[in-house]
Amino acid sequence: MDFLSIKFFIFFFSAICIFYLSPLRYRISVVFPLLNLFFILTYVNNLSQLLPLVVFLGAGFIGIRLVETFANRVAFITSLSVILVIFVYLKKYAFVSFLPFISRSYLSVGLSYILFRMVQMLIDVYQKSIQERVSLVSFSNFCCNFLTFVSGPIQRYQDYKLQESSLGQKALTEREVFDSFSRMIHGLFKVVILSTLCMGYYKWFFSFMQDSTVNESSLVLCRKFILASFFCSLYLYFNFSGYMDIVISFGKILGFELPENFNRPFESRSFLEFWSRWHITLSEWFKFYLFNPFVLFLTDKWPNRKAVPYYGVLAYFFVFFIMGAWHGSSWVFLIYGLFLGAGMSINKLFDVLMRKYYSVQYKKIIEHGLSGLLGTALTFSYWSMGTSCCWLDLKDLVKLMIKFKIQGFLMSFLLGIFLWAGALWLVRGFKYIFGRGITSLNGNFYFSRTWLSFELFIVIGFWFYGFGGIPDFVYKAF
Amino acid sequence: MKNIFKQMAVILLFFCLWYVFFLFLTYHFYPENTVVDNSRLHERNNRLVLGKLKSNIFLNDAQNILLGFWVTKHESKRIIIIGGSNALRINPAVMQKALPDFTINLAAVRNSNITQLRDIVYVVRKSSPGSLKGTIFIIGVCFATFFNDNASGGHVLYENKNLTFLEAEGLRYGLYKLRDNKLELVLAPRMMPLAVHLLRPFLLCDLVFYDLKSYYDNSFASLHAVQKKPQDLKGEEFKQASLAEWRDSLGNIRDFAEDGIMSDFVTLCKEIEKSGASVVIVDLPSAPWMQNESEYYKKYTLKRLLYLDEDRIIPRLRYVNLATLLPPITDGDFVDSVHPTKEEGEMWSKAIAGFVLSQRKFLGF
Amino acid sequence: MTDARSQIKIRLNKVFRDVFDNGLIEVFGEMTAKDISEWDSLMHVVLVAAIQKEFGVRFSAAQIGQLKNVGEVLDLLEKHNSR
Repeated sequence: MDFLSIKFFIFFFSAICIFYLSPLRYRISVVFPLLNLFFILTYVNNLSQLLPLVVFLGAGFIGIRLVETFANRVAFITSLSVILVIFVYLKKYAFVSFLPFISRSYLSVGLSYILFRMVQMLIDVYQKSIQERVSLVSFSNFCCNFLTFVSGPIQRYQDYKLQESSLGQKALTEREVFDSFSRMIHGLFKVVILSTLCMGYYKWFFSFMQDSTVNESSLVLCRKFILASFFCSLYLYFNFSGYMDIVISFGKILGFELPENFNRPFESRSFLEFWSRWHITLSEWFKFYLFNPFVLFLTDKWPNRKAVPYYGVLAYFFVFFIMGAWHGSSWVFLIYGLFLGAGMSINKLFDVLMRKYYSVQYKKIIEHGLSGLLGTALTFSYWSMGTSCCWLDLKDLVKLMIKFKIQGFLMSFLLGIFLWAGALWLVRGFKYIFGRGITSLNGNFYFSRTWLSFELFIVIGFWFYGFGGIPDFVYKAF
Repeated sequence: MKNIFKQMAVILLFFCLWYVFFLFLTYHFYPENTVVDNSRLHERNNRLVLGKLKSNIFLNDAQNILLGFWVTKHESKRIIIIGGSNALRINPAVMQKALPDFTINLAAVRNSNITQLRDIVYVVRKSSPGSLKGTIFIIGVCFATFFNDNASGGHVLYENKNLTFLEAEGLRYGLYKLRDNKLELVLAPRMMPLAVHLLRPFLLCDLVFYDLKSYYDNSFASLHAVQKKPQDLKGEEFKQASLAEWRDSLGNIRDFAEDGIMSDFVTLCKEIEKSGASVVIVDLPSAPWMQNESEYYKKYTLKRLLYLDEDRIIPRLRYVNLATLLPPITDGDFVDSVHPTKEEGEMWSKAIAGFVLSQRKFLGF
Repeated sequence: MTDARSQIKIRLNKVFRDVFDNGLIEVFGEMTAKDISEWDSLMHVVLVAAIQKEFGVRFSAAQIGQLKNVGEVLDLLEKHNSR
């Protein structure tokens, strides 16, 4: 189901009604599974397209049962490998392109996120962090939760179970309900208007850049490239975080607390910090199940105190390489992975060296003022450049690299830092001057409702206007 | 649950207040039109219009037809001009002077081929209660009317489907749907005028967004060198560029003006005639250099001998080659390959009006 | 505070001082990563490794990830000891 459609809004209203009108004890066991099923069915034309998803889920459930029953390493590793193999096959990764893939179309939306959930359950069951038996209803509710089906946030099973047991015990206050609606409409505003505009400009600058002839001065080319990159990352942010706003507030209205995925990422002062603010649930997942075990393994194997900081450099590279590569099945995403990995490990190396030669407290010194601003701009510029490239195919990417060479990228990067620092400075100035006024206005009953409904009006107007040109949800593809 | 519906109701109430406010605003700025006239809209589409809001609430020529016909009055005697973008250069005011008994609707849409013409006729028929007796369709054709549906001519991409401009605009507000590549009404015809009135606040939104967009596009465009359009070129360079542009939009010459397309056109004319209306096919001239150099034009001149003249056998239908009614045309009468200058457009209008008057017996008025 | 818990706390304090190479650290229940500037996600794992070694326990991935403050570490260790 497309989130920006009349269908979705009918679904939204009817889900609320059905959910609250049904008796509490049936909400989780009957109503919720039915809503999930209905939601998923809207993505397929015939039932056979669901088969791969069912097989994938079935393998996961049987795996979890096996690990619960036998509780040994063999069962765990077998189940994990089976799930991973099915996933790689269904996602048609480029490195297994020699396999005969299923040529008929099938539902591949949400597979990645189901993988994260199933692996988490598998590991936690194996390590006894999940002690109670996972029932089929809980399993399917958790894996196919319509709120998080399309692209997260990636909740933890234990957190989901808590929600399940406390559902309906506390009625929402009027304030909470209003805040949820308001967040939902802000989310719509982000997705429908802001992300569409940013995507338009991204494509625009990008086409200018790709069409441009060689004799153009390189500074002009760099400017186009960096503007394209900025708009691309803003587009991703508005699109993704807007959807999160819709989903999280929808969940809240139904009585579910979903984890947050964003915490003002563009205010991060370093690349390391960025990942604790961008797609938080994904980074957390990787931290729990890849980074921590990997570092633990290294420190166990070679317990050398002096080497520990460099383990960090290595581990960050490894984890972010995997995470980048996860984003897509083509070769470009391996390069994206390298790019993310390099960014993280360079940042960590900088951290290590600063602590060693400057001061352990260096962060407190450089996080404020101009250096903080520069750090933020540097982070954003680096990330944007990498992100904008991963929408190209390999051939175009190579062409771009030949056109730009190292110095071109470097120049764009510096220009980007300069531009973003300036933009940030303006935004902060604006906030400083008008911030308090806006907050107090928002506290006013009439103003907040008037403004919110105006926003809704504009969203609907723009939705008509941008007919067919409103971008779909990007992260659905991952 | 109570809280949820209460908050929802409050937000909806405020939303309705905005809605009513904007609805009022639209009636204030855009009183309803009595005729569908795309000539003013066409001009607007070519330049920035902030501050020039007072012409029509519909965003573009397609909207003006798809929605506009439902909210204009249906006089018993009316002329509806359909065709491509060169027909848009016909001046309804000039024709009005010569034909004072008629209301003149200029309902041409850019990049029209038979498919779009059929859709326009469909809208006109559905929106007119009763028979079309007393309505004269003037179909302005030229070689560019006869391209195949698969050619790119002015199509827009929507959800990976190639839609014509008219189809995309029809789907925009959900009032039309596509069936077998034809537009069809979603609502019952009697509900349509109400639906169009209810859409007005959002139509206003469209206008504002459109203006903002063109404003920003223009200001950004000055930062970057945009590729030159054929209109900005001169001499031989211009000719080659326009020929290439035509090749691009009309598609393969083998699929162009095929027998199937030509007979579809004849069928369309017969259908119009059956519904009680009269048809005047006006063959609009192109720039002389275009007539000499375009392979499409040459193929078209052969085909029209075969098909369009044959239409004379249908009662209440007239075919005329406009060039025969005009003083000899020169390249200077055109702004590009097919679009006449303003003065030439007025000449065309006068000539067409004169022709309609001269055929009044056949046309039945 | 029970006797066992304070015993654990003393041992834990030693681990903290050792890992962060700072003899002045005094752990307390609500102490989080914010209170020690070296405590980042990397040192978190190193700390956990040292605690595991000192107390002869193994934490699960979920436990390691979710440890937020010293109090939670104490709870976990206490639970483990009582088993």
